[in-house]
Amino acid sequence: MNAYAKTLSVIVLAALPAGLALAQDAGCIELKTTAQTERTVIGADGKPHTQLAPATTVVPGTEVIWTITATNVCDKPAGNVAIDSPVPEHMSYVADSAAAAAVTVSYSIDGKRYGSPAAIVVREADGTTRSARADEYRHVRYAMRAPLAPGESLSASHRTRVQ
Amino acid sequence: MFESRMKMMRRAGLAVFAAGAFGSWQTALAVGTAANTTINGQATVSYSVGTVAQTPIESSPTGNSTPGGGAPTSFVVDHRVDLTVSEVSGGNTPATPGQLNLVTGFLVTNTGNAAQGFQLTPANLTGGALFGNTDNSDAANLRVFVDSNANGVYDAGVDTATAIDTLAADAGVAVFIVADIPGTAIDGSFANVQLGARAAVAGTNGATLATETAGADTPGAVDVVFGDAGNDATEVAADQYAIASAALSVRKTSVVVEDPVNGTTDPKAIPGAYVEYEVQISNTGTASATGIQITDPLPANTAFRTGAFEGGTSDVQVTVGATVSYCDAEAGSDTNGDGCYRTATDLVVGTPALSTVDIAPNNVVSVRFQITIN
Repeated sequence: MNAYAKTLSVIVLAALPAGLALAQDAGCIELKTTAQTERTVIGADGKPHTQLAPATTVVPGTEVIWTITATNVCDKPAGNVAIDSPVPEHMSYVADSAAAAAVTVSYSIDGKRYGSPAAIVVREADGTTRSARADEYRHVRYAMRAPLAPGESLSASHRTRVQ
Repeated sequence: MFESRMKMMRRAGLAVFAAGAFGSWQTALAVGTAANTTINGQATVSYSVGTVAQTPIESSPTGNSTPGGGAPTSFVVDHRVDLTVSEVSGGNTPATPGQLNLVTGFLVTNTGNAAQGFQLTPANLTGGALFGNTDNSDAANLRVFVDSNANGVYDAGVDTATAIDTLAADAGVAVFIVADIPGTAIDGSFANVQLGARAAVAGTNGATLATETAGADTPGAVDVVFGDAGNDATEVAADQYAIASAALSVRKTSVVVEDPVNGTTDPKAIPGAYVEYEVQISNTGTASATGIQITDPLPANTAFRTGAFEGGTSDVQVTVGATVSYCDAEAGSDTNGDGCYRTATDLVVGTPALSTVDIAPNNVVSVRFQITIN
């Protein structure tokens, strides 16, 4: 076990009783997920530019950019903010595509144990083990290192590819 | 199954993987996610306020702050048209001039993510090399047929479809070009042919070609995207007919073998002398010549000498490679069926005494007979 996993397991466990206690209240974080694809357009300068557009034309092999934005809509800081974004069915995570400021990114295959890429190990049928490939990750988690102040937003994005 | 997999994952700590699941993912990668599949993405945030952990909040496309609420951010997988066409045998098809219905085999595979039909077009290629041989000849009467009974072999009268009506995603079917080789094709030439496959709407027997969705994307609808090399929904592969033919040369020599004065010692061509003719046929081509028949006019002022070989019992000697055989040249017609006879003017040697002139090692055949000078 590493430091990521310890920290994150605390969050998971603590969230369960709190969920029961506070279910009736409005939440303090607004969470938004967008799916976009890159497309190349010729700009006014005659040169190709890459633009982001809503993911509508998507075929096997297309990379989709998921952007998750968490905004603190309360008047108190939110601590231990951790966003879990499962890799959708029929998609594979694109290696090294997770990007966000001031967060710790960790990954998981089973949605239970999270870790850095080096810590995620796959056991083969013959009993040998190896590091998981990025396309085997089924979850991406962004854990903020500092509290999210009222009115502030955290924006995190990563890519997954249609299988 | 899933339950036991999860238990195994727990036991293995972070080493969480099951071979079964991995195998199925690989299959999915090979075919690609099917068109019209909805993909849902939804993130969840956990947080605390003060020291109190809050109910996790699920995301929505426009933003959600209701605990546990939210909606997935979704899109539909579009239809990627993709295909491969490959030559099957890895080598050329031997052919001889005038040969009919020669088959070359191809495999057309639907590598797109939805069922697809295909229009098929055979063509002669001009120039260009394949299997190290440059095209310098054309096949004739090119036809294309689908391997309807899926046995990998062209069956005339059975494999009659000329287009692929519907091919499931990731499925392949054999397609044959059937062609004739012109009788004028020369030995050692090569006729390269090409199979083109163009994606068509499934179920139209190749008649309605697939079209790419033009202009702006249609949100929520399944658009058609040409994902093949060249983005034209068309792929081609080439195969080759290698034309092999016999190339015969004939040489005739004579030698005086005996005369009435000198006997067999330094015989001269005087009346009453025996002269032996040798007709030698060589095959310098790359295929055997069959149905060979020699017709040799007998010279004027001579008479065919019967019984010249085998101690007076045979008229004609035929040597194929190292094998020597004999036949009788009956006057009039080949009454004993050995392939040799003579008319008033000609000696005829044919099947079975002489039928085939192979390429190496038996690529030289000689026929010997004798005449008497009047």
